[in-house]
Amino acid sequence: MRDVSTIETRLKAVLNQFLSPIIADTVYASRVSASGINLRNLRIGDRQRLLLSLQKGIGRYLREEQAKQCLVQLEAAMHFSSVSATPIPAYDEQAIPIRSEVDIVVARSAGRQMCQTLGFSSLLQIKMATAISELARNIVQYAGEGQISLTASEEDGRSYLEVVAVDQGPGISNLDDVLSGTYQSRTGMGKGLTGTRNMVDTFDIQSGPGSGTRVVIRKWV
Amino acid sequence: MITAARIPIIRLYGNLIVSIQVSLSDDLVVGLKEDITRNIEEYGARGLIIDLSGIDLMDSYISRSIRDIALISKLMGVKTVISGMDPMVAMTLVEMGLEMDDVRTALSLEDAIELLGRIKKDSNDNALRDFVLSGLGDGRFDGNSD
Repeated sequence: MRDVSTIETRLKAVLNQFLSPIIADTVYASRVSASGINLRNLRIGDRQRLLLSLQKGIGRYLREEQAKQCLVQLEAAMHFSSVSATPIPAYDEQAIPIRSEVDIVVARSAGRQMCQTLGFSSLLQIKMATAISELARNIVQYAGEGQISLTASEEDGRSYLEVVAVDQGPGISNLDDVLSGTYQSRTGMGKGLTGTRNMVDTFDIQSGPGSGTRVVIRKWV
Repeated sequence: MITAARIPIIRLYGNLIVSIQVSLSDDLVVGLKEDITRNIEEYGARGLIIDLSGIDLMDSYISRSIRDIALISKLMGVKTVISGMDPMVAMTLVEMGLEMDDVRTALSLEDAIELLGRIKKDSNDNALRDFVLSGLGDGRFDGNSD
């Protein structure tokens, strides 16, 4: 199990070794705490970003040679912790009840946050947030209420975000038309579901008159 | 996320400028549609710019609504330009199949103003063109703050 406090302690120890305690604390707080990087799930990209940020932080207080040494040790501290510890999947799960338009925004914001934590690119974050927005909107519009579940997990060493949208609404009677893109809704452009399908890696929909609708989408990092 | 009750509409040299810098909720979009049409009527606007540089996400409903606003304004005789769409939002919209073929677009608010300026120059009214040339339009109202 990866211990966050260990990484934290190590980074702080290195900073303390080079900087006075107050400045070390400030640098840590402004660079690590404020970076939003999840120490529990340090990816290669995160490490580089964190290092770059720390470099800027310590650059102000240390001479070039010292700053270099400090950086080397900071990097070692990060690598050591991630190599020695058994990697655990960044498992996260959220269920968001969808009852009104406001919940659409809540769902897509939560989804975006999870994408960010998983290390999705900005473009993929936007795509997934848009997809979630579409699914949530369909629930509000056609079923009135339902639920969006977001799951961030790993399979074969690759991370993914899975979104499950469920409602007990009237179901989609003309599913084939909707999915073939021939159907034009009044509010969107009839593109909500097909658009969502285009943007994700897997797309599964079960729906029928009277049995509600269940959409499952997945996107790999 | 910032929320606002209404999106401000700026009246400027016969034009309306709307810069959306907040996350759009459905209520806001509906309110905006009403406000813009009312403003067009009251002010007798000849041009309308909807600047989207602050929008980081558009789903089918929002994009449809923005397009509707542009088309309604166009029907009312107003030259309408949509500007400043985030590249990643644009990529997402195209992938979703939500292009806005029938709407005039510009890279930035500045370009949009110039576009309207050229339109107005063609109609022998140089007020906006003067405004652009005087440098007032020089980035000051550019929505690309980040």
